[in-house]
Amino acid sequence: MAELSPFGYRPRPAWINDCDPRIKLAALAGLSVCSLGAGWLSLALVTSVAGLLWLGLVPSAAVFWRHTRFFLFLLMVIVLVRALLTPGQVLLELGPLRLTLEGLKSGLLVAWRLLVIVLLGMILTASTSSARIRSAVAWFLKPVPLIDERQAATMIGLLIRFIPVIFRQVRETAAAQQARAVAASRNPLRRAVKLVLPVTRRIFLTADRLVYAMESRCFTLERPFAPPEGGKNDLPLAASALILCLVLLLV
Amino acid sequence: MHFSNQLRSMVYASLMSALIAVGAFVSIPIGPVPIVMQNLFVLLAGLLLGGNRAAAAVGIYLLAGACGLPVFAGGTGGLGRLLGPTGGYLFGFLAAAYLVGKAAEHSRGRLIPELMAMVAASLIVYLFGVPWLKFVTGMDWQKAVAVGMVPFLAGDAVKIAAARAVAGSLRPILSLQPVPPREEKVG
Amino acid sequence: MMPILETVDLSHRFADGKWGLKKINLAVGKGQFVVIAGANGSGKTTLLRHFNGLLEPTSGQVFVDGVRVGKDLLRARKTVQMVFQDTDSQIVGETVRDEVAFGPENLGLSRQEVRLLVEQALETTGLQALADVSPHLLSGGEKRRLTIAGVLAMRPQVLVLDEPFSNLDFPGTKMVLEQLMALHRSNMTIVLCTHELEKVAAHAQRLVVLSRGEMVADGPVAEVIAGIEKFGVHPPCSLKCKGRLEPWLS
Repeated sequence: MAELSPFGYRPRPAWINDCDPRIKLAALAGLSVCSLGAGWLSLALVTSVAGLLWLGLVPSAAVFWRHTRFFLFLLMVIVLVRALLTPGQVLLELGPLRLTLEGLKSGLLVAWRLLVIVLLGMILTASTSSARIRSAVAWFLKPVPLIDERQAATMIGLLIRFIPVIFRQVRETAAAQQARAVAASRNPLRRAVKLVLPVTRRIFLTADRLVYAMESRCFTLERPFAPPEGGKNDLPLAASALILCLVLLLV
Repeated sequence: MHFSNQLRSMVYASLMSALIAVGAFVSIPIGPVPIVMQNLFVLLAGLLLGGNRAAAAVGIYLLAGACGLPVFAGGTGGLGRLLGPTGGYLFGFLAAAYLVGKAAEHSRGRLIPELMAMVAASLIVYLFGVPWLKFVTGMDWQKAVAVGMVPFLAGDAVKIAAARAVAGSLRPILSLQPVPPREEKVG
Repeated sequence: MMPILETVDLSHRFADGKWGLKKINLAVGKGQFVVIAGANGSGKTTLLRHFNGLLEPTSGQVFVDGVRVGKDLLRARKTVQMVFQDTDSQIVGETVRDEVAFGPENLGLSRQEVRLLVEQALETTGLQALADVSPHLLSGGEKRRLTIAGVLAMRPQVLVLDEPFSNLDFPGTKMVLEQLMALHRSNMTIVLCTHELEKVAAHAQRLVVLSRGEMVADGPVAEVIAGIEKFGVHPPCSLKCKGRLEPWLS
């Protein structure tokens, strides 16, 4: 399970922790969209603000590295591919490969924008309990037609709760298969079926039992969802997010 | 008198959603490219749950991920993951699950329509994934297809066959109809 | 006195045509601690699921506190709460506190009431310190106590437990058993089903034995337990070795 909820929300005495999750979500969405077209200077500004927030929250850059390394690898690929494929002033020539200045620049810019978005997402995750994120999502879904926000909120709750359970079940099944030397089979189809069939069967068995348990405890969609609560830093957060958005758009 | 079908559907979709999340970690190492099982579970969601529920399962996964909940493989990142180079594939899953689900609802278990729907769905994933990959990385079409599609096609064929086989043996014991629930043979 | 839980000629037939239960007549009085024993497949779980209307009888009736279950499902479920065998597939909440609050929230209580019930249930089960922990980080015994806390928060009059000791290590079993004894002392009606009598036999008052869907014995533990082996239930070791029942908790 270590891989899926690597670090999560813990009550930390941070400036941003008790802000209204709705404002945090809106700020994340706004800043993310605005970052997509941002230039070097504004990205530097947002990165330093976000970096400070992150360090105030989780005083470690290593944690950030550990939990984004897969994504950082993708970003490195972007930089490399762009640097090699964009025509322009050649910086380095290795056989048929030409690394250009323009390519390096555009690659770094694209990667940086995505990095900022990921950093902002990590700040949200580290500073907000999943229950509060859920209640904020439900609030935003309220006006959306065709989606029952109470149902969505319940489903997100079950998703978060059952990822570790299913992760363990899948690992157990895989280990059992290994013990019975299913992996020795060379037929990929057979291996896929042998792994997926028991896993999926278990999921539906779990689901059936869960239905009983929820039914037994009188489950109803009418259950009250705690409305997201605000904190004293809501206004400063909203204001600074707005200012940063403008900077990203204009600078 | 009880077991509202709604609760059952909701729980099935939620747990399938969790399985799709976990599926990113499940792979069978064959050759140089390990076959990741995540999209197999997406196809399976379609076959077993039907269009709307399958789309709900994938949609909830994406929504939770976009809002920063730790459901994506390889750490979190929220919206960044959907906007990142592989984000297109994730959106493609939504369309794929819905398509397979709708086809399964209408095909009543017949083999050929379901296989065709899954082939189409697998291609749709690339229809979303490859252009986005090209856009983000700046590759040309040829390279984007060579990197973002070709290596996975053989695995996709295996997954389609496996999804159909698994669905075939699970369907008889699953029911989303408002009938009394199956008995568990315990205790 | 009117029994708090009663089945009258309760029969249940599965979708595949097999009979799961045949003419079960069982009445449980307030404050009793009843153990239902039986081999796997004897119908224990099927019987329990009729107690709060999770299953509908094919024929016969189930009464909770004098009212037929099907007539007022909500009332039956408020009165009879159930702890299922597999802990992982019944815990809904993302944290211990959320999990305990799930039931009371479904009852439409105010936030203060919910908070109070949750605090009390956490205190009763000794889980206060773990209130903000994610359930999957708990030990087996803690998870089991959490499932008990989750149903206690709904203030039931009858607590039904299905194999509560399965997959528990020694400290876990001890913890849960002590919890049940304390609840029994505070006059909770407890119906517990198990195929291992070892742990509870000496603590319960009454033993009901099911075999192939039929009730084959019912009476004080000491009387029923003597012939129990022929129904596929292993009698407690103390009975075999020393000829008398010894409490599992020393």
